[in-house]
Amino acid sequence: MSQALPEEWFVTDSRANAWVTWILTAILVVAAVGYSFAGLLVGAAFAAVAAGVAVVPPLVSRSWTHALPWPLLFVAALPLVLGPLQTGLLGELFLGVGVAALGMLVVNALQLTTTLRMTPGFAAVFVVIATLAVAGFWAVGSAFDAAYLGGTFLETNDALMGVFTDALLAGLAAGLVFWWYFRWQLRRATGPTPEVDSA
Amino acid sequence: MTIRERLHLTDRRTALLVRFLQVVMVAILLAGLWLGDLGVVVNAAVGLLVTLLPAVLERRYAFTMGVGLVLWITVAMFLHALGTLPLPGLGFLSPYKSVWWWDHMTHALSSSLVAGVAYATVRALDVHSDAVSFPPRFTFVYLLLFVMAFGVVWELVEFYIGVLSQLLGIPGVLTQYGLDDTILDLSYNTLGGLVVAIFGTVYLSGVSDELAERWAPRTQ
Repeated sequence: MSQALPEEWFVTDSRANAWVTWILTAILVVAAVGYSFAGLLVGAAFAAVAAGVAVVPPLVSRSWTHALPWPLLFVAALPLVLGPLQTGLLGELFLGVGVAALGMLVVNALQLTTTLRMTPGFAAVFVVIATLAVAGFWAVGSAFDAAYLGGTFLETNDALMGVFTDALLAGLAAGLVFWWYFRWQLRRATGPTPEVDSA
Repeated sequence: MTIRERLHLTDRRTALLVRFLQVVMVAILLAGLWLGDLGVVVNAAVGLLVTLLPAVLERRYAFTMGVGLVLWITVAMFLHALGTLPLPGLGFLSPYKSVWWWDHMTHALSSSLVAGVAYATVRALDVHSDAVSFPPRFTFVYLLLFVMAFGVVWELVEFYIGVLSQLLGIPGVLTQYGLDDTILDLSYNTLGGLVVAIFGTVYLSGVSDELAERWAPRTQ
């Protein structure tokens, strides 16, 4: 997948979508403030990043309706709800998918604001890497938290391997979905009116 | 390579050192066979194969790696293979079991290799393709993510090989020592990744330039 998509990978120009996305963004901002007052810094950072990537597309294009598709932002915000609930296997899988989705949105936002450019194929691989890495850093961070700051962490190695397995499965699933999504977009972009891309 | 200059390692001496370490690894492999220790045999064999990779790349694809890089790969594989061998000086325990920092050293070393591979490919992509551009700060973060992700996958591989060998009733080839050890592994992986993320630009740009040249004709 080396053909170039337009620089902006996720955007929906509709009023209805923009309303929902902005409401979600407002909730995320409130969540970020709430989490930070509660001393839950990881949750606060996650919510702040999610809110940040949501406001980048409308800010860059200077149009409030130029917003992320709300289902994508919703999926990326899921870990904020699922994390504290500890809902077992299915919850963990969705948590992983949410982390992967947020990773993709961060890439999207960086492409709009910095010189970072990726091919869609590389980005799909990147979200798998990011999801696994987040699981790893989470494990190291919460282990140190449990050892020195009185936090809680898993009891056994088997439990940790379970978390890692879920992260791997969720990351792969999200990566595949993004891959298909980009291919579908590419086909749509090049299908009916064949554009000549000089890149 | 300034480190090698300081150590008075000429290319010839470095190549000799690589050859020597490979011979020792063959000896470790034979010792494993003699002891009937499957773990030693498999780890030494896989390590040897990896050290032969640069030569294969050279012959098949005329892709030359610097001797220093080859030495780096070989040392990592050698220390890993040696770590699984029960040694008389250690009361016939393997260094992995009796030397507390052995595991951490090999993890940091091999994760630095992994980060090196990640760095070389990403830089090559960056140089080779117009559709890809990585600002240095992103490359740094990407390397850390990559090394951590690889570490997680590695722990999973260790874990599932253990599960599988338990199911089949054969002794494990790779060993996990428990939760604390997994966490320490991952921490030292991160350390190795950090080192490469910081020094990568200096030592690895030659490799990625060659990769980029190799891929260049594909764009036309």
